[in-house]
Amino acid sequence: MANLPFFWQSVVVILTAGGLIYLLTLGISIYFSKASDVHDVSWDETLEEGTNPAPAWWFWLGISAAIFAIIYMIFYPSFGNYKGLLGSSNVKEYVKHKENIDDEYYKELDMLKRSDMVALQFNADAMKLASNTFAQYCASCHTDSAEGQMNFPNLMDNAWIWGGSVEQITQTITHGRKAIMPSWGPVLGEEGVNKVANYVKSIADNTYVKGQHVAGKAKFQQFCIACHGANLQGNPIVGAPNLGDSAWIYGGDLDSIKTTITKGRNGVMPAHKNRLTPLQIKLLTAWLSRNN
Amino acid sequence: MLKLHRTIESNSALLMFGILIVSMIGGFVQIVPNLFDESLHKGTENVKPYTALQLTGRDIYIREGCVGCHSQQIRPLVAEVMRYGQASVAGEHIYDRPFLWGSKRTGPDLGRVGGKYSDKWHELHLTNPRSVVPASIMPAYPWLAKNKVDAKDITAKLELLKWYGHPYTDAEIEQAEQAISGKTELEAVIAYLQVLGTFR
Repeated sequence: MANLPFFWQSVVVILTAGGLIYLLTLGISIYFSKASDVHDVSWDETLEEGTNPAPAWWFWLGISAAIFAIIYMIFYPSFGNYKGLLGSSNVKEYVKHKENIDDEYYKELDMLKRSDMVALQFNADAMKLASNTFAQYCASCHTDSAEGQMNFPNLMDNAWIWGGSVEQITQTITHGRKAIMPSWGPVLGEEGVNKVANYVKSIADNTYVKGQHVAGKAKFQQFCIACHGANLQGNPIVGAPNLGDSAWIYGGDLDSIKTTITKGRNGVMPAHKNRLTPLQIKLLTAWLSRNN
Repeated sequence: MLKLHRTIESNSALLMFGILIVSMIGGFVQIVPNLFDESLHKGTENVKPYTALQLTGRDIYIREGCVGCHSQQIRPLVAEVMRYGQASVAGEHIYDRPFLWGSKRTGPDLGRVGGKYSDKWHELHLTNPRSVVPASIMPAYPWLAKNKVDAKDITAKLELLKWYGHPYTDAEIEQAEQAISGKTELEAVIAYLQVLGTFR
């Protein structure tokens, strides 16, 4: 919507109206000018031009274009700051279109909003909708199958880093999460990292035998249990993953584990409260927790 | 009337000049008054000038031709708003000089990409898009992680923008070079991408 100062509004109005009037008079004056007057320029000595009027189709095309322009300017915003009889604007059209869509699907959407999680999980259409939403907003990191990839956790394996309850998943999607694993390289030293990594790997692989990895276990209990717990079970409150299972975000081979311990990791789940509606978040939560 | 007609018609330079003037009127009426439309130059509530690092990232975004495939304007159409987020408004672009709205969408619109992905994702994606999005056709930009940003121009850039009216403080300009030196181009681009669309 134009919001011009007076001077520039006048410029627009004068040039628009003036141009229209000038073109109309020009068209009419040519159309009604006397036919066959000889133009007083002669080209190549004998080649002369007449001033025959333009053809009728051309004249009427021009006149109807001008009339269309005038009608358009009455109804739509195009004449300085004049808003037009229809008061039309892109934003208004958007709002109207959106309302139409919301009205059209009101019954379905209302039903989804009122359904509980279990009902949604048994509703094939709702699950299809959720899976499409996931493909649109989440798959770039977690992949289409939600099984994750290197650096981005698997959401289908029941190893929930930030908790797998409906409330926790909703919180994770809505407000995002920031996990901080500090870099322990400077504290533990290369040898220390090696020992802790071997201890963690033996637990994860279920090959730990009592009495093995004594030094690694001691260091783990000194530095790591605050977040990952004495039994390596992790802590969903700070997003510390369970290290005793086979689910790894950053790789479970010895080298990857050593890199993680040495350099630390900063996993970030972006907040989606401005991107997804509460209903979309609800659908995603139902879809993600359907195997719990 | 005929005399004027004759003068113009028999002087090609004058005729060309006349055609130019007449065809400029339409553009003049559509473009020039908008430069004086206050509502288009008033910033949104959250709009901030780019920091030294974001601005450097923006220049790399221009250098690598990202604007050739990615637009930064979400039109007020239902499908578009559902896909990309709230429609773009003029006020969030007042510190874009020049704006990078673009008109080609080979890739998705980036008007609201800020905060959509984690920094780590951008790092992997810019270095090799296929590593996170298997079907992506975006070229890889592996050199961004290797190149250090060119810090020596940043003070002059900020000073020029301040002259244009971007509210940088003297301290910000003074510390700009120090703030970005040693950073990789990748860090700069990510800093820029993460702020896109957060000004509304």
